[in-house]
Amino acid sequence: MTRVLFFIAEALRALRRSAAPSLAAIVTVVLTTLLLGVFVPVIKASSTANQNVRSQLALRVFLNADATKKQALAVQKRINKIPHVARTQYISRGQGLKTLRKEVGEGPLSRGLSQLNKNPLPPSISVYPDDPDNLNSIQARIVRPTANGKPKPISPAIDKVNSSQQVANKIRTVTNAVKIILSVIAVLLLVASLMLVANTIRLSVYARRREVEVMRLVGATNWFIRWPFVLEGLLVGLLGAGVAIGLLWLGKVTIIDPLAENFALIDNFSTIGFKQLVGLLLGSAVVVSALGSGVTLRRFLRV
Amino acid sequence: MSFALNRGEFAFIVGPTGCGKSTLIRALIREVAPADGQVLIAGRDINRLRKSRVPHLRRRIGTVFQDFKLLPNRTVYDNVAYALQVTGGGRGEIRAKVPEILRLVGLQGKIHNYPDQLSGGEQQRVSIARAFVNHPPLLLADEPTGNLDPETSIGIMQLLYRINRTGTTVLVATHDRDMVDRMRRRVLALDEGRLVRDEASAGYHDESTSEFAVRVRAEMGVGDEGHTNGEPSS
Repeated sequence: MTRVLFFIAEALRALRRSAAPSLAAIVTVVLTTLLLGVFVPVIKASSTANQNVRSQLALRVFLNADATKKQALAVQKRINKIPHVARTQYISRGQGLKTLRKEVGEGPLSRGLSQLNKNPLPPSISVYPDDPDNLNSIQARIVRPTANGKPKPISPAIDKVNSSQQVANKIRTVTNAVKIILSVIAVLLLVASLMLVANTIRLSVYARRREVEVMRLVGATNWFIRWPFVLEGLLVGLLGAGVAIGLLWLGKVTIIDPLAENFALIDNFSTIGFKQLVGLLLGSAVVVSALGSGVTLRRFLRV
Repeated sequence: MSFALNRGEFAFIVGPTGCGKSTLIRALIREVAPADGQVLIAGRDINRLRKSRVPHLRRRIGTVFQDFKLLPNRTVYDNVAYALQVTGGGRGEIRAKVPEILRLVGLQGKIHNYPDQLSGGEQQRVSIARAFVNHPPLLLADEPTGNLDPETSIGIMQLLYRINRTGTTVLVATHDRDMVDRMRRRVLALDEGRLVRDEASAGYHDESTSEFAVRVRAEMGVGDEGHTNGEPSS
């Protein structure tokens, strides 16, 4: 117990003595943790958005407008036999029009629809894959590319096959870019705070080389010498993370929570819980500062 | 070089600058390892100790240096207490031992002074107090009087002699030939890393600390005023 108190007293003494570099390190840790606290939910939300889009991916197989229901069901049966097809759904001309009306809702477009005297939609079959990655292979099985370049569908009743893959790919590219950029920034910030913590500890080791020398002379064990420095690094990390988490909580209470009440959108994003986020941030701050101290002690405190 | 110190012996290492006095001292606390040969302390080869045992070896050896190596931002009391703190001494132990050792070195009146408020001799006494507070069986001193005037040096030597008389083996490295000659103790002379002379205590006889001080002072031609280490001077 006296030992622990001794270590903490030594660490605090060191922090007070080298206030400027300690403050710089703490501020950097605050900024890093703060940005990490914003980035992590954003990255999490964008990947869930991406997954939502991917789970809705399907192939639309449009049949010829004059295809009979019997033909359509035969095509559906053949598609069902293709590997990786999870399920298929036959959408008749009437059903298609109904869905379209619903999607368009009220407005000028719906009036335009009602002016049509004839249903313009062909019957279609929606094909849902077991995994979005298999969309291409399924499409290739339905419409076989042939040697002369003209694709040949498995049934003459098939007019064309539409894939929502392109749309999905675009969304995926954007979310991936966001993810990569945010991750790179986060990693750079982590490296910066690690180096600043390391530098603080290095200055502290330098400022206390006499103490270290005396400790070695009178026979203090290596870990007894190291502990105050490790604690100093941890204190920097924890102080920084504490301030940042306080700010994040303030932001959550004053900005995000009122918005979430008004906009279902924000609430809908399945993102990380605040408690988990706090745990993650504290954990990374501790790891970063411990690593920072550790690196320095290995290099500058040969005991 | 090869030599052996007996338990309770008081010996000097002398020689010109760069002859290896300090290196010898550092080899004894395993600060440096000899390229060849053995260093045995209490019959054990200290270079075959596990690294984690080295601090425990150093707890059994007191060391004193020419530049004192005191912590400037701590008081005399805290400087001595530091040695106990960092080796895991409890509060009770510190309260009991520190005032006692400071009385032994004659600094009981300057417990709360900082090192820069003390004279060189007083600082060296603090450093000896710190080295001896754990009552190690071996005390090494590297040029303990190098920065001090002759009168103060006698006080320091008197203190080391007194520590020796409690049964502690004392090994002092110095280039102060005058002092060594008058102490009449065993002398190991080094030159360029070799032992060139090993003189067993010429005219050695057991004398009390104060007899010792009086004799040395008389031989060096300095008065008997000055530090008395808390003992009445005779």
